Amino acid sequence: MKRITILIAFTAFVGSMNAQQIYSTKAGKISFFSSAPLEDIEARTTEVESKFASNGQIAFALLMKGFEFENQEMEDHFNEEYLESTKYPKANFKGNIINISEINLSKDGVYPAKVKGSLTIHGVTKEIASNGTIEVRGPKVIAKSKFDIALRDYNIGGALIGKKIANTIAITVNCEYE
Amino acid sequence: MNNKVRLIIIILILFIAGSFTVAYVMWNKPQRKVENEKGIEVTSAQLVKDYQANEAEANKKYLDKAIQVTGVVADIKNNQEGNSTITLSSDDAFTGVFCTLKEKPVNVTTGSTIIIKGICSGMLSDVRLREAVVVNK
Repeated sequence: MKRITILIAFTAFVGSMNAQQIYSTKAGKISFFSSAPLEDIEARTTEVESKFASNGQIAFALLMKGFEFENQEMEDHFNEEYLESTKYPKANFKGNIINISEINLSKDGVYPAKVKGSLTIHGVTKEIASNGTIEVRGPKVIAKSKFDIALRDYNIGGALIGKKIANTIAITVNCEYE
Repeated sequence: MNNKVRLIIIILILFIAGSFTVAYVMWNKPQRKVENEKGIEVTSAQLVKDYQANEAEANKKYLDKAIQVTGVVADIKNNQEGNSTITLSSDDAFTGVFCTLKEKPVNVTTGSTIIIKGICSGMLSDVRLREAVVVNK
């Protein structure tokens, strides 16, 4: 009986050692910026769902309709003509922080992070690589990254691309996990 | 001849003024305000059920529309931007209606039944309402 108790206690202990710490948020922020000759466009959403595990696995999901623009006309154009948000309501990223071994999640600091994975926008999935940071501040973990995507890689086209909408869009990620 | 020139100039001026007005009006198209729209009335349980049964069909019905949802408050929080969020519970403990509010709600407590009106963005792990407001009965 005693032996069994010890065995159970030991198993529980080893289990807790191996347990993945999972950080999550339902209200992360992702914004994009397009700078074209005729106009600058900026939009953001604060409704990003993201999960990040201590083994480096990281995922983001957002709803295209959740992007807020400075004017309604831009928002309508973006949704109806370019991103076809009704047909493709979601965008997501699934990947890994490949240098997770260099990030100490139990010690405060800002760590450079290299991320690789697949990004799906407008129904098209592409492998991407990006640099960012993981900031550890007490119990809070903050993931930040900035990278560019080419619209044509995601089959996003239209008459205004190159004029009012840039060929390349800058994406900024800022997610605070609990 | 003189009259013809004058006429052409007037037409040109009118045309240019007209184009500017159209551009101005388009540029200043007012932002949607959920308060000014009549929302589709539904309970949080039904909304979640509809999305779980068939997401594409539910999107046809709700996506980008103003929705007025009645439900029990499961959670009140502030997001990283400092905006308030309220989650309404459904019959499924893992899925709710997650609303990002425009203003801080007053007199809303966990466990109470409230009505929230917002614009539906679709569903992630919860159904999402954005630019939402608490409706007083």
